Amino acid sequence: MDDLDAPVGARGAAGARAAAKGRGLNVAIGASAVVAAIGVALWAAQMSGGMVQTAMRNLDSWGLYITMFMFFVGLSAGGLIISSVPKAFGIKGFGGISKVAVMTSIAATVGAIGFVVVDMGQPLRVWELFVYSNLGSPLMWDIIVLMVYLILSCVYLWAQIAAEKGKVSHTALRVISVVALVCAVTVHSVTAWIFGLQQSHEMWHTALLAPWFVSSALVCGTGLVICAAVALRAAGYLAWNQADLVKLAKLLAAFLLVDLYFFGCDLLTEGFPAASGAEIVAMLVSGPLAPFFWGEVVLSVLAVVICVVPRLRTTPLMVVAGLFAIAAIFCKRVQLLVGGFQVANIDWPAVLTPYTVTDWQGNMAQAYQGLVYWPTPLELGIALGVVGLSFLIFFLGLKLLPLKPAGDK
Amino acid sequence: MTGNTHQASAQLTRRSFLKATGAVAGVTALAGTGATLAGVAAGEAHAEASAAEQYFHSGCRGNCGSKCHQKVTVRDGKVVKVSAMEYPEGDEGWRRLCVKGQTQPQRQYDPDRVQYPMKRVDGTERGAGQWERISWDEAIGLIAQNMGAALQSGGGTSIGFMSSYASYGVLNGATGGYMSFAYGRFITAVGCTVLGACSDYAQMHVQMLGFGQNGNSADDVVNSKTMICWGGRPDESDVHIWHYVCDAREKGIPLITIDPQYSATAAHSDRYIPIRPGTDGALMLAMINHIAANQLENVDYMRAYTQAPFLVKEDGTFLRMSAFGVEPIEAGINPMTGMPIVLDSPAVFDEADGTVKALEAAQQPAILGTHAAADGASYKTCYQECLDHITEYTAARAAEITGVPEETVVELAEIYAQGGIWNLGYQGLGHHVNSHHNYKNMALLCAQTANYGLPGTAICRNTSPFTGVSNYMPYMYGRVGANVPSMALPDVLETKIWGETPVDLQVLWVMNGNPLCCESGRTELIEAFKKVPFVVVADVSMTDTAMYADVVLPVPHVFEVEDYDSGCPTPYLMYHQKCVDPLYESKSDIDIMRLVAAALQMDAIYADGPTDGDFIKQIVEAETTAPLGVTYEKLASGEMVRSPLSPASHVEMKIGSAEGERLKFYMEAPTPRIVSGQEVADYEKRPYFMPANEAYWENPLRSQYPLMGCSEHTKYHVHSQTAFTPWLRELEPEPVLKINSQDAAERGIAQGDYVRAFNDRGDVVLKALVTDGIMQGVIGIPHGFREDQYVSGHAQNLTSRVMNDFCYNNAYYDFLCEVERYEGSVE
Amino acid sequence: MARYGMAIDTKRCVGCNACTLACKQANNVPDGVMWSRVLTDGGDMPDTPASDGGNLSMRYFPMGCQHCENPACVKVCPVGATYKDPETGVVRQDYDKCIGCRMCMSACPYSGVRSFNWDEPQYCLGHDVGDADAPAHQKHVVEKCTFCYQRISKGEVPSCMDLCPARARFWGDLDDPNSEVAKKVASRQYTHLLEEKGTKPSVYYLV
Ligand SMILES: Nc1nc2c(c(=O)[nH]1)N[C@H]1C(S)=C(S)[C@@H](COP(=O)(O)OP(=O)(O)OC[C@H]3O[C@@H](n4cnc5c(=O)[nH]c(N)nc54)[C@H](O)[C@@H]3O)O[C@H]1N2
Ligand SMILES: Nc1nc2c(c(=O)[nH]1)N[C@H]1C(S)=C(S)[C@@H](COP(=O)(O)OP(=O)(O)OC[C@H]3O[C@@H](n4cnc5c(=O)[nH]c(N)nc54)[C@H](O)[C@@H]3O)O[C@H]1N2
Ligand code: SF4
Ligand code: SF4
Ligand code: SF4
Ligand code: SF4
Ligand code: SF4
Ligand SMILES: [Mo]
Repeated sequence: MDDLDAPVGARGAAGARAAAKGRGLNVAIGASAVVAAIGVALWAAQMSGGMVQTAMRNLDSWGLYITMFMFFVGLSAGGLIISSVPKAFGIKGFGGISKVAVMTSIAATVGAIGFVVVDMGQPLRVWELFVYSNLGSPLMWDIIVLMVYLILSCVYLWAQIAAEKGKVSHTALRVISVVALVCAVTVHSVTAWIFGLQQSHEMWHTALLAPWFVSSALVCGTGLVICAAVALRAAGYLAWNQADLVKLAKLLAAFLLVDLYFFGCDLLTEGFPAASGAEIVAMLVSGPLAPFFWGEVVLSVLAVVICVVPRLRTTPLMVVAGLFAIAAIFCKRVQLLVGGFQVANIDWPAVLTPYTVTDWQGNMAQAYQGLVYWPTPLELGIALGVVGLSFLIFFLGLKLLPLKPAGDK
Repeated sequence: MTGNTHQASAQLTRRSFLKATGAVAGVTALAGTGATLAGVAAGEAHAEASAAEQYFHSGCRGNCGSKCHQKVTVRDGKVVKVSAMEYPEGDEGWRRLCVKGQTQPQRQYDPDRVQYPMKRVDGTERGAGQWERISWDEAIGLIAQNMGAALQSGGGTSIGFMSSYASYGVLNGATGGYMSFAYGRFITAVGCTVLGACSDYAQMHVQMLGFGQNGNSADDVVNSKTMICWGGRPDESDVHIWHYVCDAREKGIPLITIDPQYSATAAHSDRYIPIRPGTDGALMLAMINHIAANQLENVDYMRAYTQAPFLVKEDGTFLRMSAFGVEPIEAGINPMTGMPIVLDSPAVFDEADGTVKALEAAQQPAILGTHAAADGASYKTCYQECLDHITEYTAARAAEITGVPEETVVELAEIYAQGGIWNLGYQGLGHHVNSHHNYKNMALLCAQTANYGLPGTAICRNTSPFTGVSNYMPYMYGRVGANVPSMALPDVLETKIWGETPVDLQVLWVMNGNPLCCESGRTELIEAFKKVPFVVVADVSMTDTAMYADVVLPVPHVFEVEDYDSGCPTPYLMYHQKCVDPLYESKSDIDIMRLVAAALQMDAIYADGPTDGDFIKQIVEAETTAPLGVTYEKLASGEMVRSPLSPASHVEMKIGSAEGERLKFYMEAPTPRIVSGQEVADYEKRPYFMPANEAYWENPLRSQYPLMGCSEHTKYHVHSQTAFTPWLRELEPEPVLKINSQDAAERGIAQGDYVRAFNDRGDVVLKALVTDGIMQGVIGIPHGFREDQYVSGHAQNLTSRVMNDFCYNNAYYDFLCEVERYEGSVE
Repeated sequence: MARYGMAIDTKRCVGCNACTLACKQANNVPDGVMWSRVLTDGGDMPDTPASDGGNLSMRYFPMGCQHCENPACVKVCPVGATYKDPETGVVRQDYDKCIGCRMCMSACPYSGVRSFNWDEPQYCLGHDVGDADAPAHQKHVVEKCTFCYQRISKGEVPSCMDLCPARARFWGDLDDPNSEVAKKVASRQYTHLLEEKGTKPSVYYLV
């Protein structure tokens, strides 16, 4: 069993440290709970004082929340895929991190859902989603898939735990793995379709978006698993083979290259006709989104270099690579979301009011000069709160669920 | 606050939709026509809508000239909607309403409204903005006390009434500065000083009052051959004639715009010709010369319908048959003046037999040349006389002055010569110090080319072609004590005399105008206001002028009073029903004046009008007007009453061969608007060009202040009246200074920067609007914002009080300034 | 059934915004919200021309919801709060249903015709104005031009159609060849905004 691969010596040392760090986990739980609670309070303020307190406006009607939603969906898929692929295909995995990886998925999925909720104007009407569901809406698909995915992740985690106790057969686990895998890919594609099926935004409207979302998810998901596993190993929560870490790093490099390849394909397709898409390319390469564009490129390339040059594959550097990968995908998310609004379809000037666009006091050109959207402190606070919620869930999982590799017991 | 009176029509189900549409047969066919809108029965609950709704027929009391008939909806005692009244079939083209009309409820419930009488806090400086609420009794007491003292010390003329054109209501308005029951009665009974507005007097004094000229009604524009928008903005300042212009364009009639700014009219024009401000007169003279030099005149027209053939004597007056011993004959009484009409025929040179004879007797009057008469002397024709004085204005010279290329000058002349010119221009030609000459030049140009009095011609756009029903006599109890142009306020305060009449102003009452925002030369006027011992401002809102008052009196919005406005820009009589009671503590001007008169023991002057309706009756049901059949009851019912004086179809200016009916371009005896002992220059008689006082290209002052001013009437303002109207300020949040991209670049000014425009008189800080839509060297600040809307200063601070004493015309555009980036803080 | 639509003559329109405010008035539209706005096809600011080597040009496009035959917004709404009325072709909005997700806003290609009430709706007057039966506005929901459903369902014309000073607007059933709008569309050249997005607007711009 892959979970049992950790060397005995490492296991022992980690076990000794675990007790000391148990308090650390409680502190982490407490801290993330506080952050989450502050987020909830701020959200209440957003609801009562009005979403006018965010930087979103009619012409840039989504912001940090939906960026984070995309990002968290990505993070969630990575963990699940890392853990399910080996099982599904019956290949050798990445050491005893399978359950932890799924736990990151669950936490990230809850975060993703949290971001949708805080973005909603009428959260008390969520029930309508189930009563008046318009099954033609990609958002509806996404909501369904996300729910299914969350449930599946839980089931999958439960199945792994149960399998360890021998209560679930390996075949059953394998079946669940396959279903989870398919669902992870689906959740990504569907999230991509929320954007990709919209002919209204040049930047979003590309068939590549779905596979690309999957690759990006793999990148940041793998990055997250690397970071989480190394951190837990350092914290003595679990023991983990350096070889598995390297394996993951190599995988990360592969995912990054695929992602960069899609990036390149997309840019070329946008830019080559030198038509309206060229504006998008210009906006990314040299316009207001350039920091995020180049951020993504540079971070990705650096991460790839770390992961493929054997000499650089030290633990700290691989963690750095993981963080870079996550940051790169975050940059991607910002480009995608803000970029979608950054080029107005109709940029003829008209009267602007405080509700039209964030920077309404000039003309259209001025409103779009810098980033059309930049979050307010309130949004940052609420977003932090949702992130806190994800951490809380993750830490609670660590504390309450038997996520350590079975062999540790 | 909101929502409770609403029922969600999102709830309207498919069934209810069908039911509702079924109720109106053939809805789909009718929906496009507006025909399904129910007619309005004034004051009556509308059957279909909420039972609590009432409709009234009122109108817009802004001075934009359009006077839209408005259907006002009142719900729960509040005005909730303003739309255009329906016009009977055939007259739909006159149906009108603009953004300002639509936002009247906001003006009515504006926080800017004066709500109760106020007194400047004792000990504070005038203009300091410290107010104390007082009762009406106290206000009237203060006023009566000050007026009484003034009357004793300085007589009637020591009380001055300053007004502008805001309202023409026969009860509360101030046509001509005093013509209404409220003010006319008091002013003429006491012999007060009238300080009348100076706006638009270049045109009014020369073209309208002097020559009696105007254009045909706008619906005639479709009969023209070419439309020329020369110094006008029908897209913004007279938008209701624009659709006729569009109809004409759809027929293929070309539109040419001559304007330093690229307006929406310019955008829709076949040709846009930028011109340096204040130079149009030179262009006209060059066109006249080109037409004359190339014999492009319509000679028959000139002979038959213009002053061209009249012979001019040495002293500039016409040679008349009395000089040859023909006795003048009396031909009836002038209904306006009550004086007999004396006919002393002008003499002309008849080319048919080579003799000078009476106009009526000549077969082929000569329009050109110098001709010997029986008395042995030689006389020039009037046309020749005019031409001889303008020879310096060649196309080349005009090009130098105006910046319009020489070929274009010639082309324009040739277009004019083809006739059928509809001139949509208006005050862009009239807001410089010496603008009035333009109207003589324009008249001669039209005289040469048969562009007046024929279908499809207009000498300028006609904002009020129709005739109301009005008997002005009942306003008058005696005479106005002194008639002073309001811009001369600083002068009379200094000299205490106007012409021969002593004017020792002790009390100044401002109504129907916001002079400290709208008259030019603001900085000097403010100083003058401060010198007047007692200033009363009666206004709807807290205006820039009210800020400098001692006592401010709240006046109702138009929807809160009954009145009848005798101006008639559409064929329908403009009667205002009272829709709701006056808000807050406001009182109508007539009620205020009743109180003032009572406090001065002068109640008698209003005794014949115990109710407002009684007064209105005196106007429409007087001996002179009664035969027209318009009754007060009819008006008060709210129905659309067509003026019996309005023709069934469009109005065409009258032209004929009799002297009085001829097209004039020459003033035999030019009379100043207000005679105050001034000398009248010889050139006032003739078409003439004189550069602007300050804003002319060659002015050496341009080395210091290179930019010429412009400050037009725009779509989101009626003068200063809608300055704070919330929805209009959503559309246009703050004042801007339009500056040409090149000029901006030279000054390091970018789009949206704040700038300071300044000259020796004052400055203003506001946002820059960098555009290619204004000529280089010209800036534009739309007219109508108030003091606190500028970062600092006031656009009107840049303007000067200089007027020519022939027509005392305000010259809003006649200023130079420099513009620089503003580095200070904007908050 | 009917397919309501409007035509706007850009050769007549002078950008006066009377339609904008007629809409605000009739529908008691909150402060800062405009269901229809006038766009200037010209320079970088409203009411300014584009300059091309000394040639100036400017056109106006009043723009509200285009009531697309193939509305991008309707497809994406997860709860059907925005929907196409089969009787009239009007794309409607049910405030009570809207969850405020703003999916429709990002789906609609016509930047800014949909508007979210970011705040408790504010009204500059202390009282409601306009049609008594116009739906009440709500905080945190999306709203837009309804083609004045409360009016057309009574056989009246939309408020912005009532009186355009330039007489630049035409209204009616596009499927009825005798309607004003159909006649204009049949006899004049027109464009649609963002034709390439495939939304098939019911608003025609006569050029
Ligand atoms: N919306 C609105 N309409 C109004 C009014 C209002 O306040 N608001 N006021 C009403 C009143 S009282 C008046 S007097 C009229 C005035 O209205 P208009 O007659 O239209 O006059 P302006 O707005 O002063 O200027 C018209 C155009 O003349 C141009 N212009 C300026 N100087 C010159 C020049 O020297 N030569 C030429 N050829 N063009 C020049 C300006 O750029 C502008 O485009 O509007 C009436 N209508
Ligand atoms: N810079 C610049 N200045 C200009 C112009 C320009 O083009 N540029 N144009 C000029 C022209 S053409 C004109 S006509 C003038 C107009 O100048 P004004 O007539 O002074 O302008 P308004 O702002 O209309 O001021 C009218 C005031 O009368 C009040 N009022 C309305 N009805 C009544 C009533 O029944 N009773 C009383 N007591 N008050 C009432 C209104 O509330 C308002 O405050 O502005 C001139 N000023
Ligand atoms: S401001 Fe003039 S055009 Fe507008 S509604 Fe009033 S009267 Fe009519
Ligand atoms: S009301 Fe008419 S002219 Fe004015 S902006 Fe609207 S469509 Fe254009
Ligand atoms: S214009 Fe936009 S909101 Fe209106 S129907 Fe089309 S897609 Fe929907
Ligand atoms: S914001 Fe409202 S109308 Fe728009 S998609 Fe979401 S639920 Fe539907
Ligand atoms: S149709 Fe009605 S809701 Fe739509 S823009 Fe016109 S007035 Fe507004
Ligand atoms: Mo005027």
